[in-house]
Amino acid sequence: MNKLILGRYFPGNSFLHRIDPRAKLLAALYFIGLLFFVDYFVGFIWMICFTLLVTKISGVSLSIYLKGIKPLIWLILMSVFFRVIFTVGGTIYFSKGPFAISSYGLLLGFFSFNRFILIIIISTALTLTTKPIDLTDAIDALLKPLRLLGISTAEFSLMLSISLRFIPNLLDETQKVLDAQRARGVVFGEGNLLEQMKKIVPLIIPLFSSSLKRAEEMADVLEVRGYQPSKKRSSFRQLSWRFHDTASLLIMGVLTIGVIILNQFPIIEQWLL
Amino acid sequence: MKQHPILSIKDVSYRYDLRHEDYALSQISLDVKRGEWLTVLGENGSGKSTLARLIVGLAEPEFGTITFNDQTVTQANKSTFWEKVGIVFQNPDNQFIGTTVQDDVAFSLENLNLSYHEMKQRVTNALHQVGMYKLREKDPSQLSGGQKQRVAIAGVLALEPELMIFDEAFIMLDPQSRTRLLKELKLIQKNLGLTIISITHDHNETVFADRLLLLASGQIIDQGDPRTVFTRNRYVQPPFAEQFRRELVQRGISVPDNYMSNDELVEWLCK
Ligand SMILES: Nc1ncnc2c1ncn2[C@@H]1O[C@H](COP(=O)(O)OP(=O)(O)OP(=O)(O)O)[C@@H](O)[C@H]1O
Ligand SMILES: [Mg+2]
Repeated sequence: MNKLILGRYFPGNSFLHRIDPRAKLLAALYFIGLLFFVDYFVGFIWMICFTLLVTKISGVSLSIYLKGIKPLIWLILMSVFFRVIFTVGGTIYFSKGPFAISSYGLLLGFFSFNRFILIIIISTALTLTTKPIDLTDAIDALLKPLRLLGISTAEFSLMLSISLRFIPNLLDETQKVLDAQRARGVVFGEGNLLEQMKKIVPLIIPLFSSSLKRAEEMADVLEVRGYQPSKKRSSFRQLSWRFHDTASLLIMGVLTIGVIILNQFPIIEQWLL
Repeated sequence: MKQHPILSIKDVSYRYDLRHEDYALSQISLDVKRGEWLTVLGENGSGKSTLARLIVGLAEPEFGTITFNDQTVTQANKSTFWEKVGIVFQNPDNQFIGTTVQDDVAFSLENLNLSYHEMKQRVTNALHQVGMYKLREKDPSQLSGGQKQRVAIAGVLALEPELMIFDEAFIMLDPQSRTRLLKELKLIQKNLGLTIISITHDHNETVFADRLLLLASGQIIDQGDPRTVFTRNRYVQPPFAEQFRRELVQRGISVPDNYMSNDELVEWLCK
């Protein structure tokens, strides 16, 4: 469970840490969208360079990012593989029935491989440098326009922040129940699948009942502390937008201009096809 | 003119399971005067927490009525009282709603839609009062049980309600901090005319009480000022000073024959 890097926060004080979460979230989403408008090889090089720059200013070493990719690598390689064998174009190196390995297929495979990796690295950079609660606030802020449509986003944000708040508790409780079962002589991670499943059941039930009880008590507390879903409430957590936040969004503009220009130059493509 | 009680409970009965005859509370009647400190003493399962839940409207009495500021507490209007009543529950874990200490203390204030400036001031004050200001950025998983209890207490202090209810809210605090906090509360209570209902097992906490209520199996056994109650109910363990006096009496030493508070004992010993 500790291996998952995506979605984790690394406390720090890098430039990226200090950018307003709203700016970071917007920029990350924009970057991911922009990736799908990159047409040619040189454009991808441009995006890769930018991503490397981001990892650099995040103050987290590149190896951590690579570790974040690792659990997903087989999934990525598999989809890239299908992309390659189902695309035909340019020089054909090998073909059998509907499958072929062609220069164009390899190029598209490389493009989608890049997209996957860059999306993971950028989202990792976002979560590594932003506290979950700040991210929740950012999501809340970005969803605000929905309120004009009468969709209440405040409850969603509160739900999200309470869930975040209780994840450690749940992990704690799991550990406690595990320990309690171990103390009674249950050995986990042994026996065949059926036996292992049987051992999980006594774990799930106490966890489920304690979560229900917790939820009930929480609901009472929300109530007596004056929380009413429909009522307007102020926020103690204040986000402050500063100049470098605007600047980081302007950088997205520069990135876009770069992509537009490089989309005119299919240099590698002309040479390959 | 006789002052109206801030809280008035009349013939209240309540049971969790309507299919069974065992009442968690039966025929409870009680008035709480504005500005008084009422301590509720009772064994496990005597109905103390149930009483607290009824007062804040989390449960509705089967019989009888509860009035707060001359208004009957009902399921329809209970939300209008929550600004004026602050409660700290027994379990400090599940009442921590914010992701950090200061967020949690601010939660009730956010619900009142206060300005950031006002919140900041109240949160800072309350955190200083419970000695948690330094830990304001911590999240609940980094806190001990007693620290979480302090945060919950700070949440109520920041709300500045008319009535505060503490359901065994001090038990996890170390004795020193507990005494300090209780003394401070006593001061705040006197200065602001605050009303406090404190539910406890701690017999030494009764020294802060203006009035004592004994609860057993969902019924009120006795109520009155601590002196009277402890004198009338010899089997209830009194605060340390009185225990000490009784011990001296048993040893045949001539001591005044009635209940003594801490101060009275000290004075008598010095003579
Ligand atoms: N959720 C519940 N469902 C059913 N019965 C309950 C529930 N909560 C409490 N009771 C019962 O009501 C009675 C009073 O419980 P209450 O929690 O008020 O006691 P208490 O005086 O607060 O005890 P403690 O000192 O342990 O906190 C007990 O007999 C208990 O079994
Ligand atoms: Mg209780």
